Amino acid sequence: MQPAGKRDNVLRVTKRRDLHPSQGAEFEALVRAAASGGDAAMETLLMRVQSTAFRFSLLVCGDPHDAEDVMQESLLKTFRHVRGIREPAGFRTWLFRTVRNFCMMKRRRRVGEPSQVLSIDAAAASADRAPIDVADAAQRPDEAALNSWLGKRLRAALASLAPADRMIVLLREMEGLSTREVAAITKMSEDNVKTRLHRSRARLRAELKEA
Amino acid sequence: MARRKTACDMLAERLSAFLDGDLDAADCRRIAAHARRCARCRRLTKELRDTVGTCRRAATVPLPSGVRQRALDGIRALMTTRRGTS
Repeated sequence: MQPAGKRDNVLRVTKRRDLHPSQGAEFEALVRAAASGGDAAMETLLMRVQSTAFRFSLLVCGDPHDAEDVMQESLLKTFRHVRGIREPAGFRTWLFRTVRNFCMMKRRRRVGEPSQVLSIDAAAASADRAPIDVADAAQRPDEAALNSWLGKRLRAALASLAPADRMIVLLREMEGLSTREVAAITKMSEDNVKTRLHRSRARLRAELKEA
Repeated sequence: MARRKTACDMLAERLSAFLDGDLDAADCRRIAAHARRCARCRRLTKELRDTVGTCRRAATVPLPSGVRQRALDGIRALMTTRRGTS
């Protein structure tokens, strides 16, 4: 049997990080400073937005190339939007809605378009081969880099979740959003968010244990 | 006839809320008391906590260098535009 101290440590309530990169009064002060025209604040804010946007779009949409495009589009949109912000507390919700919308637009475009532009002859010649993105291959982050970034096991475990559940895990666990904020972004009830989070944690636990 | 829920079932159902601090004090005490007695539920609690920790830690890892560099280039270009227009 485990000693009492170790046992009780297992039973403590998990505290969310108070100093999460996109959380708390310090972050709101940064948004306010960027809104009022500070160059250094704007640069710092964009640096934080880049990680958040890339992580979100890679894990929710799944395509590394789209994730980079979404990250760049989110940086530009943030850059333009920040000056008009009156309520810094609402910035995070705005950001994730924006990134999610970019992801959805990318996916819609991807479904409706061929993955590369080829001449008719070249298209006919390659009809039996898997599609490739010739123009952007050199810019695409490779799988090895992405796996060493987030961990192959975790990426695979997250991929086993339904997209809506993956988004909830990402917003709650990785981005530190509250249940209320996640509900506002996903347009689900808070109870639904909690139920899905519980189910997803159990699934992730099983996947990580198996790996 | 439906099987009566055991203390282990109750813990498994409410563990996520327990870890997030969403339960009231009485429920927390009940869960903690059961987990102290039940090695299987204690292990489940630890594994779920570790899973949450793995996800949270992943959020602190910097972007892959190539992605980061391209993002920095984009940020610099935006900031140059801003300085040029102000």
